Amino acid sequence: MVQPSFSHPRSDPTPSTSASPTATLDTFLDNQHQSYFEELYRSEAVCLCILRSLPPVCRHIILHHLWSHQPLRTAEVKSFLQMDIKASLQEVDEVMRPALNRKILHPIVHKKAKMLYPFNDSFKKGLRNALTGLGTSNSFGVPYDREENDEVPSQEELVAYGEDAFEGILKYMVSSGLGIGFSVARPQSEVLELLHTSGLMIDPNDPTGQNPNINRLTITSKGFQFLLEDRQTQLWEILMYYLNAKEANSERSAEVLSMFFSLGCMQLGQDYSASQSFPRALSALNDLAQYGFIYRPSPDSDQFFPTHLATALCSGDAVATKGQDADEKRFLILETNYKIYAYTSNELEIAILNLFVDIRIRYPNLIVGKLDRRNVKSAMEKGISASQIISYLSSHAHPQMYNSPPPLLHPTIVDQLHLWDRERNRLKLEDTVMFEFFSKELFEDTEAEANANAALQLALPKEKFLFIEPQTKSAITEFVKERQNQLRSGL
Amino acid sequence: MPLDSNYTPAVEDEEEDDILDDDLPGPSSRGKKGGIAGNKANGKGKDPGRHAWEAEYKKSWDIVQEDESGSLESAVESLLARGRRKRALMADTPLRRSIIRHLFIILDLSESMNDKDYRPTRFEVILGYLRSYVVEWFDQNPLGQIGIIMMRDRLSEVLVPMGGNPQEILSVLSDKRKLEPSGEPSLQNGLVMAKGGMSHLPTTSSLETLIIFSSISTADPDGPSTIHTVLQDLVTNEIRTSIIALAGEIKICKQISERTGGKFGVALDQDHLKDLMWETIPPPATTISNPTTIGVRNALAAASATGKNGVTGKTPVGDLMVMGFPIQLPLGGETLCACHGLLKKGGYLCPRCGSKLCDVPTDCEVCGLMVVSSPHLARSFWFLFPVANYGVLAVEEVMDSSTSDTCAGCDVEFPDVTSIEEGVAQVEDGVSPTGRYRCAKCRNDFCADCDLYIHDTLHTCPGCSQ
Amino acid sequence: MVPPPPMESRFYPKTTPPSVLLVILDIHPLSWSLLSSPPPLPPFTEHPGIDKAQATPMSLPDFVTILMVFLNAHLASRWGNEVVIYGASAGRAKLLYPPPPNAVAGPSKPRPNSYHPFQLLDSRIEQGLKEMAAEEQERLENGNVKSLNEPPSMVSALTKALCFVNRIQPSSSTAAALIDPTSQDASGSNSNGPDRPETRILIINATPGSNISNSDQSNGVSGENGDDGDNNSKGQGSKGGQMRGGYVGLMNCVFAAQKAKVPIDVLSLPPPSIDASPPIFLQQAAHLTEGIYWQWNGRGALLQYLHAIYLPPPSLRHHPFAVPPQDAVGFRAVCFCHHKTLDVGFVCSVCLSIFCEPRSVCLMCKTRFPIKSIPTLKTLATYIEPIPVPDTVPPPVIQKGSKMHQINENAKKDKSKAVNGDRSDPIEID
Repeated sequence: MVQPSFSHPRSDPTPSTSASPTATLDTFLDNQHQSYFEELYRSEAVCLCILRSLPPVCRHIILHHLWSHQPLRTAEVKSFLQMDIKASLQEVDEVMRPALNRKILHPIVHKKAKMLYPFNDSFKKGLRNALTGLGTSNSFGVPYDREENDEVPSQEELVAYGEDAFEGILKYMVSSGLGIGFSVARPQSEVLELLHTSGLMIDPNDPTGQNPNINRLTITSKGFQFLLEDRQTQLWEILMYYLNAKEANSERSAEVLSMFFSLGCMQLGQDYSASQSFPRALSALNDLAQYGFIYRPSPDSDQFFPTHLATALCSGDAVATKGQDADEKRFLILETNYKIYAYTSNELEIAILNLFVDIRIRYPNLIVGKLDRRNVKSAMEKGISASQIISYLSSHAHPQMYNSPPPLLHPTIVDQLHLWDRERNRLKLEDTVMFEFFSKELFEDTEAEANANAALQLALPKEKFLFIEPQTKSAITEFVKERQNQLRSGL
Repeated sequence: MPLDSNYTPAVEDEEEDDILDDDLPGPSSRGKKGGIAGNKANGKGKDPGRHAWEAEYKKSWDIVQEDESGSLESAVESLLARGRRKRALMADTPLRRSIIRHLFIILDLSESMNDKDYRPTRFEVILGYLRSYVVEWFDQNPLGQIGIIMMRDRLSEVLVPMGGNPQEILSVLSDKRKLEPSGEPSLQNGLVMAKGGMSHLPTTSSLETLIIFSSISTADPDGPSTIHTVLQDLVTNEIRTSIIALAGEIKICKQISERTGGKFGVALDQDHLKDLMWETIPPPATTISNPTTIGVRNALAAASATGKNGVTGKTPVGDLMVMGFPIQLPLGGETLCACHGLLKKGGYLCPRCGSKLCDVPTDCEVCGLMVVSSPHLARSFWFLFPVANYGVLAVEEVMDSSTSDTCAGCDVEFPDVTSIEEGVAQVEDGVSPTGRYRCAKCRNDFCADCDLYIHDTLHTCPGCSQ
Repeated sequence: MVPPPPMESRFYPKTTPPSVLLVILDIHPLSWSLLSSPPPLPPFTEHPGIDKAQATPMSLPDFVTILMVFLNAHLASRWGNEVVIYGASAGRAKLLYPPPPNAVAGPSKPRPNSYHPFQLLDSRIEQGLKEMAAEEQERLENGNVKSLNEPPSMVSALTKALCFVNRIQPSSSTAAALIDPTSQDASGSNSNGPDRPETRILIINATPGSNISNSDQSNGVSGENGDDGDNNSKGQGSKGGQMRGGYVGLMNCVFAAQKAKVPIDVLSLPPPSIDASPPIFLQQAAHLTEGIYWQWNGRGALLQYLHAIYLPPPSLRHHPFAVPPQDAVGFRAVCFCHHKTLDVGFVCSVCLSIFCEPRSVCLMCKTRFPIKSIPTLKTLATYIEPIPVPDTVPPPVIQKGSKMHQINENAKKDKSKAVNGDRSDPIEID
């Protein structure tokens, strides 16, 4: 038997989580046109966030050249990167590709095999203004003029509010799939509609997806996968679904996207004026309130507070995002005997764990369970893959787990999860028709014929069995009879 | 007090007790001047009437106490802090160091190294420790040199010749296959080889061997010379021999180290083994001066007070060397070097004649000047300008005076004085109840972390350098 | 000076760890008064383009504005990047940012057009500098005029910075070793925990001459300000302390930084027209810790230089990014007796103290040296005549119109010139 070869975390320091949390955003941006970016780059906040989303080498080349008057040249990039001066244009292009895709630089062919990369003027201006604070677009949010003695929610309250709102949605999704009785408030109908259009939830009674009853939605396998992602990825996915929905309604999405970035640059605990900060995206801002991105003291006030969901939007990588609640998210201890200890009392986390863990003991702040075949396979039936489970386990690993030598998760467990995944695909059921032959020649002829018509499923020359696609049965029978007659007459 | 008059430079054999007591590296022997030399080896037993094995078993978990909230954190932290403070307090400033040291590490690679009383084996443990030992040693003895000799199958063999490059030694030590333990060790052969390897070295530098001895016997060759004659040679050549035994106390080992002014110790467990090894890292005082250890500054003050007539009839032990500090060339163009006559990039320029040398320290091929890199020398200056230990601050002192709220080193905030309970506020074990440690000179307060860092690594007081 | 990596091993890191930048800013008033009225630059004939740029007066407010933009760019280049700033003034050093915990909070209201962290940083630096200026003013009014002539206390700032580094990433040798004696064996044990920030120190030196230890240098500085009377007395008084806290202190810091793997970058502002001799000990510090040493040529463009040279974090330096070629480093030392900078010195074999002249007793350890060797040593000493260093950096392959090269080349030429100028002078001005 062939040994399965899996990519161990040993060989790859960032196993499977290497996909950036903003992957959905990246693909979205990569498909946009020049004019779209021109509109985006009017906001300094966007310039800053886009800069940070570039890979480090490209990012530093941009910063390196930001204050120069002349366009960037390929020769400069080469010398800065210690490339051979004769290195092909391809190599430079590879490094600068992300910046070119984001339309930060415009490639201009200078001489043969030489390029000029002048900056996009609006980006250059935007980034310079972001660094010097000389912009005029109010993209970092206009503070709200509040009365001296107004009540201001504390940072903790804002975090709690944001968590409640977003986890409420997630819990609703989980409970719809598992039938566990959470006392979950149903999210607002706009949210449910988005969940439906994004394919995270469907109405099982409505196979066409045209007229869903949004009160009877259940989670899909895509939805389960969504649940296992880390928070940053979830947020961006939701936002991109939202953005796509807007696009589908042929609305301008640049303003909305620009607003996302602005929110990401705001300060937790500070209140902003909605009408002054986002004069053209007020309705989108209202929609975001339903997901817990912002908090409004009263539904129609101009004042709003971004929650941590919003302010952490642009924190680049997942680790930095967790910042404030990092310790809460690192609660899992996984032993080599498949036992899992989860120090959590969060209903949602428990529900998610329940998807693939056999929970044996439940204390107020501790769950003890076991990864076993039955539960993992039932999770896989729901569409969750082994690598998703692995990435969930490793991203939630308790700090204690980091004290043992790497890999973080023991290879035994990683391998076993992969094996269970394979096991699911080990047998494939197919209908077939079997032919049994007594003459070797007839068998061979029929095999060749079936093969030619792509109707052969399996041939066993020793036993002289042929297995044929059922729908070709009649044709093959015809052929066999004909051939049989020929052979007989030949004899 | 005319300090210099008390100072006897040459090693006298009849002063063995003194050698033992004062010659040991580190100040651990300070303060028990009256102690009997012979008692030192089993100095572990605290009360005299009982043997170590009769003492009550100390449960390590009894020491740890929970705080009010039932958490062990504070207890663990104070234990940790205490241990660290102890280390910091140990190193005060002995008078003289011989900084140019030559050390042979004689490694017992006999069968007994495969014993599993250390986990996983003695061999693995020793090898691991040796690697960090070498690094640490070169850190503290920048101009020193180390060689390694191994003893197995009754033979001895130079594993690494005397040299000053830790990387070379580390690479040899990491190759375990060449070091497979076997047979019996021959202490005599090892010592003879070490002595031979150091015979060409001047006696102004300190010659030392460190033997890590795992077996409980030595299989020496028959012949006219015995281990006792070798011992006599060692004494006359002033080769300080320290022995760390892994198994038990062996008479001859103890005798060797006592006679040569080295140290003998039996490792009780892994931690103790490490302690024993690390004790040999700080340079020993080369000479036997009067037992009170005096800081350099005091010595300077005393010397200037008594004038120059305090010293008479002493033979000089030191030498003034002319050294040049080169200019390192960047890795630009290739030029011919004076030492090999090869075209090479980089290199060093002799400050006197301007010829290019490949590496320092060396003697200039052209004008004969000793060329060293000044940072090499500067590595050891902290011995000469040590940072005085910081004092602990009691709660009252902090209350009384107007002090800053932050550590003068890392600017971390000190714990609020008013929140410290009166009951706990007692100065013990050198752990400050207020978490503040004050430099006596610049009157700045430091946190425990900075205190340790400044004394262990930085060797410069941030306040005093202002 | 890592040789350029082989061409085939070209791969670029996908992520970098967050980076903490510790800036030590020299705000010595005398130095800045010199920098704000620079003498005209000598013509730079080799490159007419560079020659066109005139000597740029650089006042502290101007520079701080530039520095703020640079620090903002550092914060902008990655989430989780941090900045710590120390101000080093005459004889004292102070933490400017982050503000002490009990300090009044910055501006409560974010401005709509600046990223809040940038705004906090900028306003706090401004506030900190003003506070420090006020303190200096107070010192002056208290009749402590002499203190103004002390060189800036780089060493103190460096020790503080290193203590700070030690706090955010404790060295394995102390804490970890006590917890687990074997942990030292695994050298990589530090890397537990997901993301460990990398730290570096950037020293911005504004004081001409090697600002530590050389009393004659600082005399020179204040001499130009017509303040001769005080200097001599001060020079005598503070010599011992300066030396001890100066050369030895700096070296200790360098070794601690080496141990902690913290590169020390040095930006020396005084252009060659003000400062003939580069600050060799800062240069040594940069060299020994694999940091970048660079001297401004006095012709503007500091903002670009800062971004080009000092912005990439250590993990991106050498590979893939090029660092400006470093010049020859003089490994000179300072003697313990007269605090001169030496090329050739006399070293005690017992304690390794360095002296500039033969003596019969070691000042440090009281070892007596053989008297009969002294005449020989004296004759040896008379031959000590420093030799001029040839132009060490080879001219790079000039690519027409390549700006990066212009910068490098520019830097190199100026530097090597500075070295030459220095070396042809006799070093001991004493």
